[in-house]
Amino acid sequence: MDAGSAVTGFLKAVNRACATEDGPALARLLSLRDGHVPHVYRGVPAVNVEALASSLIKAERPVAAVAAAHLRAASKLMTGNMEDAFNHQCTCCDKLAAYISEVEEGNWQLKALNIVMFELRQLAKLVDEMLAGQDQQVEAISKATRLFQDCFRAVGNDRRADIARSKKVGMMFIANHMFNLAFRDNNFAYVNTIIRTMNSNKRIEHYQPMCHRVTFYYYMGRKALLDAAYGEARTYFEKALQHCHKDSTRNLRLILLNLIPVNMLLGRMPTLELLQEHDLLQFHALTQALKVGDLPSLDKELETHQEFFTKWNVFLVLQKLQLLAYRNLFKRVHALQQGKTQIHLRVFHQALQCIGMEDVDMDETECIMANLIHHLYVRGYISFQKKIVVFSAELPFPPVGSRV
Amino acid sequence: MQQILHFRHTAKRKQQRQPTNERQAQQASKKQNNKSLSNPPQPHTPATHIDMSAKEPANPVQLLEEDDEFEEFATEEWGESEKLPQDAHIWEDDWDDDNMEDDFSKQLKEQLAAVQQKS
Repeated sequence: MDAGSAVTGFLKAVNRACATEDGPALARLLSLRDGHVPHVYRGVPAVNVEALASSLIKAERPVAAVAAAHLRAASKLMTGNMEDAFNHQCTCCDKLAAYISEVEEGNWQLKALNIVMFELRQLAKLVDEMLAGQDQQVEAISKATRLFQDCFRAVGNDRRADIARSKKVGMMFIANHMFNLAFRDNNFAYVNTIIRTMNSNKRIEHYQPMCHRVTFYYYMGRKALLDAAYGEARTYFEKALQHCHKDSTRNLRLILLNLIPVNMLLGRMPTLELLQEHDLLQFHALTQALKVGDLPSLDKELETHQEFFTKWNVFLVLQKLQLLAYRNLFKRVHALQQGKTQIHLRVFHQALQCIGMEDVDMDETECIMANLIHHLYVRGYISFQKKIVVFSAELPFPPVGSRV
Repeated sequence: MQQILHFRHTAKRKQQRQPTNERQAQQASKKQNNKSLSNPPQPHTPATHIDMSAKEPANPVQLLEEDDEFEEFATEEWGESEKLPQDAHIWEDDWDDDNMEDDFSKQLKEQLAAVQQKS
């Protein structure tokens, strides 16, 4: 088949897909990664694709523009011109959203929208990365984000009561794409609005395919983590872990990379089996040190794996484990005092010296204890004059998880 | 109200200013490299073009697949049997149970006792 007739064949296939409302077919046809692309792209420069599309596609007007934009994007992508491919893909996405808005009934086009958005966001990241450090910035990610925001609004406006057939079911994957870009760009301005809207539309959650739900839980967890809302973060990551496909190795690992630090902060430690199973042994020695209050070792482990933890955005959270480590150490010191409830701060200072923290003085020891009491790790009070800690007779060191 | 003082020893510990985002770190070093290049003039290929001198078409699948972020799932839907088993032993809740049998705690006990005897 020559390239020219391949283009014609492609456009006719798009027409057929729209006529029969074939969602999966349209999704394949609009994917830049589909097998048709290498056959079709060579024919694009020789043809007025917009005119040809208009003549061959009988569906609503935006569809011809969608198909033409896809062909142009394919052509640019295959010849290595990423920026133009990105721009054409923006048009494709924009026109597809317009098509979806125009058609009153049904949401069969959403699969295709998801594919187009995914590929658009990948192109956006590629283009921005290629231009990183140059004087001229395209800000593809910003442009894509704004476009996604429009798509979100477009599907969100569907007032249909029957959720399963409503366009609102598209909200979740659009939110996911926006999350993906927000974390790459470190810009959460749009995402905050999205979250509010999603929270007031909780009903749609159960109409979502599992793949979108797990991804959504993951990103909501990461956002909560960023906002230091640890309880909420844990809920989302636990949900993501519970529902994630067991063969999705990378995704499981990413969920755990976040869930493990959060759980540790909340008093739950990962088992060695978990760490081995998911190739996360970087947490192992750290966990052991934390449990007994071995602060020098904890510090050392954090330093050793600093690059790894920073890369996965959990280093700052892990640093907060230090207070828990002090709690665990002091709990042991308290246990060694044979039931005494009044213990001089000097004893804790000595303990710190024993484990190798020579540069901590009495003032700081007092400060640490004050912090532990303030954060409800310790029940008691400090007599400042006498420098004595008066512990509660009952549960002086309450279970870590119960503090919150 | 207790004053929460700043830990001197925390401040003393090596404060490495890590960028909060790994990409910022990568971009920062790229920017440095680009500015320090002093090459002889070359035919200008726009930065967003992939070198096509090999005259082979680009591979869209390779270009567009996920990097190391959360990836697309292979299927849309799956049932309970395809999720992780709920009874797997993955978390420890009993680590805090007054167990001082480990080396660290034993050593602490000995050393603390020795110090307290002296004082």
